[in-house]
Amino acid sequence: MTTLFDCRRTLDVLQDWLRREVTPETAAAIEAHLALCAPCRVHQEFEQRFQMVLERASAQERCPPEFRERLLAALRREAGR
Amino acid sequence: MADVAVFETEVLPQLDTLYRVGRRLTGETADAEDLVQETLLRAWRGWAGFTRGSNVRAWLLTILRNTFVSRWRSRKREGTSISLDDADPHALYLAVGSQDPEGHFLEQVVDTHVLAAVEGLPEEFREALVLSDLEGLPYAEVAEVLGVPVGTVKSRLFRARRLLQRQLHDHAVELGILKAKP
Repeated sequence: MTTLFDCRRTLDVLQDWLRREVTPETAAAIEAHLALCAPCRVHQEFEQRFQMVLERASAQERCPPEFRERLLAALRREAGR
Repeated sequence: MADVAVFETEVLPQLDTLYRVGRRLTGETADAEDLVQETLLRAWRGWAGFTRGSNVRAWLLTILRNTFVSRWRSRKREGTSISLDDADPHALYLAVGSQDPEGHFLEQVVDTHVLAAVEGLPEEFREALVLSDLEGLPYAEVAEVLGVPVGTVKSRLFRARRLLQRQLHDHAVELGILKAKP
């Protein structure tokens, strides 16, 4: 039988669930709660959007090519010793 | 002598990650470059001790984080003291709730401000959040890099996300994207 989660318990682990970091039992309890609770589904959307915004902001940034060149030069100097 | 070409093949695909994490930890481009360079040199010197086939990303990030802790952390006093509403960690969501329950305002915050807000988080929350939510490491790998139990990672992430959401919310209010709560 699936454990029952109230809103508070669901919200406490919602992010962990979104990142697939909960046990199958907890996942089942959250999914059962979400199926019945519209406000928590809205909160789920909020948390998903938050995650997406973080990933997007971070993914824009890359190691600059000129720094990469300097790094490789430093590494080869070190390795050549 | 170990083959530097093999080392480069393993390590260079992780360079963007190392650079981004370095940026978020130090908050400065120049410091991040110093940090990444020192990490790579230390990794090279320790390369013989690395077990092939084990997680190179976690290995490198552990070196980076340890280097940061020993070289940078002591220099910079923790300036921020943001308090989290412990009584109700969901307070922000509830406050935004009536106006923008799905959090569309988050998409209107520019990336540079999102990253600046991350850099403003207290360090122990910031490092967990950067590794997990920005770089996508599984919790177990974050725990390995930080040298703490997974449960500690979870609770730091929980608080870090709430703090960051609060910051982004306040920023959206300042910009007039959201109305201030009366």
